[in-house]
Amino acid sequence: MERMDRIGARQVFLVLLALLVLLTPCAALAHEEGAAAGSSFLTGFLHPIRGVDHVLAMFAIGLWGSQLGMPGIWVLPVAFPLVMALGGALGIAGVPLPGTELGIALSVIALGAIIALNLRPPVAGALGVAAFFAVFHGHAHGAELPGQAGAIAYSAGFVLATGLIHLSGIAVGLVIHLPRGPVLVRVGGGAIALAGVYLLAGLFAA
Amino acid sequence: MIFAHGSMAMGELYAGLLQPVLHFESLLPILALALWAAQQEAPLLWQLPVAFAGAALAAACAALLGVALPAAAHVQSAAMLAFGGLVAARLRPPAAPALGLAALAGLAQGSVGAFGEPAAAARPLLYATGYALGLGLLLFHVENLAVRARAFWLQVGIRVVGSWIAAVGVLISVLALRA
Repeated sequence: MERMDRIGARQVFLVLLALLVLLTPCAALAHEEGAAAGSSFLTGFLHPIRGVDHVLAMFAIGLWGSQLGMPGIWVLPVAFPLVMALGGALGIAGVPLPGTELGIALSVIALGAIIALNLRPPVAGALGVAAFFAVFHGHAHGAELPGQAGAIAYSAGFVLATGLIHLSGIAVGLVIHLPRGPVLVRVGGGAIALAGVYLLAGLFAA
Repeated sequence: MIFAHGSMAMGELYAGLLQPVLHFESLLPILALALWAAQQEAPLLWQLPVAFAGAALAAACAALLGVALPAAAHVQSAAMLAFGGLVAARLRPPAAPALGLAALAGLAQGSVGAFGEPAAAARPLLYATGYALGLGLLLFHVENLAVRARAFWLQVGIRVVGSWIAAVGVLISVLALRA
């Protein structure tokens, strides 16, 4: 693998694509009433996108991957959906997980802070951190999975949406190859951590 | 559009042709198998889809004669999990167990694909012809695309898709166990 030292047309294209993916939820939310009554696929697809906490955490995982570089940039998105599905399985099976909401808010703060501090654990360590939080996220979604009818379409939409948020995090993270890129990525991580603090405060205020 | 051709007696052909694409539970195992086969070396590269499609056709014919395989839907969910996980891990297994797995998943695929379909009951031969065509085209097309995707990022993308399919397989399997 050659190092990507300068930003090329492909990287710019990827970033634009990521922004498009990020903006899609806005368009989708505008049609919320129709989607709610529509197919389970759309419901599943919209579910992760509509929770700000989930979007932030998934985006942070992708951003972190970009910051880690090889091989974390691809190991995280390959492993994450599987671990999250295991958490989802716990949720479906009705295994109680204490403090799910708290865990999700903390995951946003932790992932944002890790990026802001530019911590670079080995891949196994990064995977462990991601897997720990993935279980909370998966559990929250699994517990809300509908019954047998339309379950597969819901799951497919849910996994796809999660993965796409992930990929947009990686794609936006490619700005790291710009001259001031590494600082930008760290600032982004800081912003995510702050948003996580806000979410956590909301939890206690409620 | 499909129903518009009903009077030409081609509706059953199209129903069979589109069956693998129209249902997630059919589409996802096929996608995963094709992607997995594309990651293999020369003989397995084509033996896997052939074993899968052959078994699927045999099971579809059995289903049209009224013989449904037990727990076929569960095997299909397990196939999503297995093939998706294998794609994500990029495993290159020995030939015999790989072909056995592909054939087993194919049997479940064909049984679910043909049993209880109204169009299949109406004109079994036409439906089976369409089903064989649809399955073959889909397998060939996806594997062909995946084999040509030599770039490193595309290879990673294929593994990510495998991980997604496996994740759906996990959720569906557990849901079926709870029900």
